[in-house]
Amino acid sequence: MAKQAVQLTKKNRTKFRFQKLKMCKKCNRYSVLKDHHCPTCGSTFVELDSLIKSIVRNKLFNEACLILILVCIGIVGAPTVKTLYYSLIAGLVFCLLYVVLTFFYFKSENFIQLKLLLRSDLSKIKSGIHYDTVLAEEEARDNMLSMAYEKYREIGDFILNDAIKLRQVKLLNDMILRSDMELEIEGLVPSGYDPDFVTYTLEAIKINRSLVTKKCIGYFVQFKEEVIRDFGMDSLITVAGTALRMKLYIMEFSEFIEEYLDYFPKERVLRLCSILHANPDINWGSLGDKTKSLVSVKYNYDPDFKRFVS
Amino acid sequence: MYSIGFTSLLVIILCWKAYKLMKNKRNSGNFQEVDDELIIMLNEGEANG
Repeated sequence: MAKQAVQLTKKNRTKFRFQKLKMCKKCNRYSVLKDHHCPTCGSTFVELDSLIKSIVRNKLFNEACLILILVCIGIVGAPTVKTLYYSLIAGLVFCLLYVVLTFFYFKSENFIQLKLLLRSDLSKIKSGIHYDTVLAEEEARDNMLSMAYEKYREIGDFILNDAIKLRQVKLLNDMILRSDMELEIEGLVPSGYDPDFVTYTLEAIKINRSLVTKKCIGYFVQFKEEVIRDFGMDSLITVAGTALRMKLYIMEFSEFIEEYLDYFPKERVLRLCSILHANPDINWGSLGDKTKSLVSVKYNYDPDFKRFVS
Repeated sequence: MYSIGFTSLLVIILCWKAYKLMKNKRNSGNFQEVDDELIIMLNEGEANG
């Protein structure tokens, strides 16, 4: 199947993941998708923050009603005019203190209510996310790749299993990847070896090398043999080359880099040399020695390496 | 006597409310913990693959 050229929208970002949860009050169903309207009934989704605030407000309103009734009973039941005034003043002071108290603790009440709601509605949230997955599957079947991927991307923030990750990877492999797309690798790393993931990663590296993180390099190190078998050594040389992006990665994966050092293009060797040269205090072990010998053998007369050759 | 009884009732309600609110405040953690807990609960029993 030919790859599709698609336009991906930006990911919905919130400070906390639960803030992405929204609810259709009519269907009593949760969703994590970006849609503002329920696909079943068409009514507007209510965000979790607003839902919590309205629950707390309703609770406070009910309490306020009970208090007012109590104060009224107290006033009405007063035997003399003097006690009536006294009850009225006491009731007003009480109401005032009650309002101040609840206002002061409003944030922690919201927090407790959120905790309770997430626990009590867990099965509803799960079934809501399951329904979102069904919608994404339908779109994937109808070849609406970008829409299906965007749905899986949102679901993937909540459901961390390989099935969701690999569905995203498969959809990404059917798209023409571009640098203006908001791509990621870290969140899609599966627990086992998967050729589709490797295909996607190698494609994404071509577009943006900075997508490769420690977890991703670790994956390639772990499944080195399988990757060589299915994709050849060039793929591992590429990944080892991207590990030169950061000093920390070089220290962490020095053995892996050393293994493929001889096959690195000049630009990557130059990058490694500059990092080693800029950090002489760090013990680079055998990687440092091997780099030195490689430079003296292969690039001894290269002007770009002049400052590294002593 | 009526005034004392009524005021005492209001004070008891207020104290009880303050106690409940303070207890909730003590038990409340941070939102990051709730977020992590939600993800753990949602992924409980989920098999990889």
